[in-house]
Amino acid sequence: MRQGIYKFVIVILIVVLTGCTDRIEIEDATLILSLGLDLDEKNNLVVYERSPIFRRGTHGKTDHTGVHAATVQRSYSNFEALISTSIYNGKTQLLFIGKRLLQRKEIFPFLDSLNRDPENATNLRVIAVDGPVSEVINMEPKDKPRLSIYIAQLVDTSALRHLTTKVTLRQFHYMIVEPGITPIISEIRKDQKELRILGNALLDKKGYYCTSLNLRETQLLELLRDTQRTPYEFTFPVRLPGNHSKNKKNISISIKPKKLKITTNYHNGVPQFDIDIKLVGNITERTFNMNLDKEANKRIIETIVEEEMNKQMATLIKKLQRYQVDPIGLGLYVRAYHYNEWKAIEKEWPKTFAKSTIRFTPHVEIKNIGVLH
Amino acid sequence: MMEYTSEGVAMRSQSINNISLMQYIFIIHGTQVGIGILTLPRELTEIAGTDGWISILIGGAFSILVSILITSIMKKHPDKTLYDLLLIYFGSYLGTLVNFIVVLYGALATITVIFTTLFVINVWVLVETPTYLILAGYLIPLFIIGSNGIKALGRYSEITFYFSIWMPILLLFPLKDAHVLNLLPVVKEGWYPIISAVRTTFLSFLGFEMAFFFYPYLTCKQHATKGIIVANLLSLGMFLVITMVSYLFFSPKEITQYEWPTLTLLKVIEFSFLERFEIIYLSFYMYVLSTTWLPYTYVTILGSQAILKKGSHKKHLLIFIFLLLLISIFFQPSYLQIAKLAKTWGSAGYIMGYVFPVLLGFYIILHHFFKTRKSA
Repeated sequence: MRQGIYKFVIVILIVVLTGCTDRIEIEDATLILSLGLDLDEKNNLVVYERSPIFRRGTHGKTDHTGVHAATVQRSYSNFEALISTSIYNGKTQLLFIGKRLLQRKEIFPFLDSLNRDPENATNLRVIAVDGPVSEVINMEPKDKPRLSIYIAQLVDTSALRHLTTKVTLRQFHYMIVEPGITPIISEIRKDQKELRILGNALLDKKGYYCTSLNLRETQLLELLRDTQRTPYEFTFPVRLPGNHSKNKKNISISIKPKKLKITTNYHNGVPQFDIDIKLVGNITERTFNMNLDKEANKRIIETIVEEEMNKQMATLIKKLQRYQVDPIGLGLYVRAYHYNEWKAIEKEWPKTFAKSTIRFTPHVEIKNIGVLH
Repeated sequence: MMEYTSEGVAMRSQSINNISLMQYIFIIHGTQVGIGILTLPRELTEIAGTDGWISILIGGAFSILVSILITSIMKKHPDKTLYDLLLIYFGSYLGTLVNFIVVLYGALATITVIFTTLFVINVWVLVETPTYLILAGYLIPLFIIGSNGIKALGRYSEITFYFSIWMPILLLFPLKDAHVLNLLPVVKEGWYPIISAVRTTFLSFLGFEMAFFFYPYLTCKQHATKGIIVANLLSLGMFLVITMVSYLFFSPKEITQYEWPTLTLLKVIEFSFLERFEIIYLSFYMYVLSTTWLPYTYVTILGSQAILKKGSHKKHLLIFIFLLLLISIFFQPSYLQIAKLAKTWGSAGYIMGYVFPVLLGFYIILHHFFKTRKSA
């Protein structure tokens, strides 16, 4: 009898306690894969979304809309007034932010709902769009897979080649909150028919747009940030002494960083950084003749590469200092090694960064020249 | 009183209420690892910055010292729980009063852990499901474990430990984004903030006071001290790993912005076929949390049995669980009330876990001193 009552109670509970109160059928869900934020001509926020449709007879179709809304959270309700299904924002892959918005408004408050609601994915890639966001969101490329997936892969593979930096929403949050670094996000543009990675957009501490880095500058910056050690492809012009041929001479080299060492000193109230980097290179292309069997010639090539890198890096660092942005995160080194000085400058680190002395010394060692002499 | 004691001894002599050394270790360790680690990195950073890991080491040393003290108190009366001890030392009236306070403490701990669990589950996993439904589902299996005696509880704690070994290992995954520079310089603001943060770790280390109640059931009592030290060290290691990973991963300014930094760490883990991994983690973590509150529930029902001197523990457990369900229907706490509950438990635990054993130790030494003089 007792056993019977137990079993009855258990069966009843299994039936009642299914925990499916808030389930969603996939046909009834709008999974926002891309979210876009931009300003219209009157500087009002416009929120765009792009989502695949899973219903019979709509194979491969996507839904893309834009609505005016005061905040991102509000826009979800406005979307739901347009779309017959309910919005689900846990699968978002991309967050496009229009350059116009970055230039005119502080971006961080708009992202609050994305960071606060635990249902949101925080691994979405943050991407600045040079031009209107609507152009990217409303693209219908015929020869490409789903746009949201395609752009996500584009950013990921470009980041592997150091052509842009993959910055997730969480990392973006880190960069804005951490005083020793300024934010950096990928930048894309829609040309006639194609999407193109431009490099990176640099933002200041409040999230306003400062300047952009092209692909080459991004590579150099990534070398300093040292977040992933996949090889870098560089092509440098070569000027050999005593050669006045009109053909341009270039050397391409695939470089792998071996060791990055940043030492910090304080000199007369100004931080000094010595960035010492050991690189191992493979020559992948050489458009001039040179006997590389000789030790001396190998050294010449190495010096050429070192000098050229040094020159380009100096230009990049000058640019960063001019715009007062420190995407390298040198402030972290000041905090770690000069904590007392750091406390005084913590709030205005970018200004101090602009004044600091930065020395870059690459040591290139060529290990491999390929199968040609 | 006599009745209860004889019944108690009889109950303890049964084999279903004997626990092995491993079970003893894991009951204490399980009680220590609970809701504390969800917020520990944030609370430590608020006071001590990224030097909080030193506070954990100091807090761990404190908890080991107190654990040894408790074990040596219990050694004097190897087959009596704290409830029996209090009656012996304080007499029937005062002893019952103190017992009642201990029962309230056990109930407070149970309620705090359960309601925090439900709150976190409600925020992260089951947003729409009402709390009492989750609780009802949660309580049934745990009632079955609880009603089968202390041995079942020990086995449950042990098996939960083995099954949750992967959880701290998984927390190492976010280290691919680690910033080692965050930890430097060590002792950045001097020792004062580090020492003041030690109190924060006290709440996390609470659980060693289970020795007061479970020591009599331990079969090999000669290893009790060793066992409780191992349990403390296990918890210390767990807290250190979680705090270190949070320090390396988050910026020191950022960590204080997250309500549950440990859960935010999990959001980084992403597979191509699975997102929001923290849902799986949290659902599994409910097991680990149950090994925190189930021993406290035991403390409560052992106490109510000792005070009322009647009823089987199964009946007491059933009534207690029913009361919990009733509370959950009428009381759905807000985030501020959750924080207040944790704070109240923290203060109560500070007294119960740290101050009380020291006072009791002194009292017992004095008691013996006067008793031996009187008899001499």
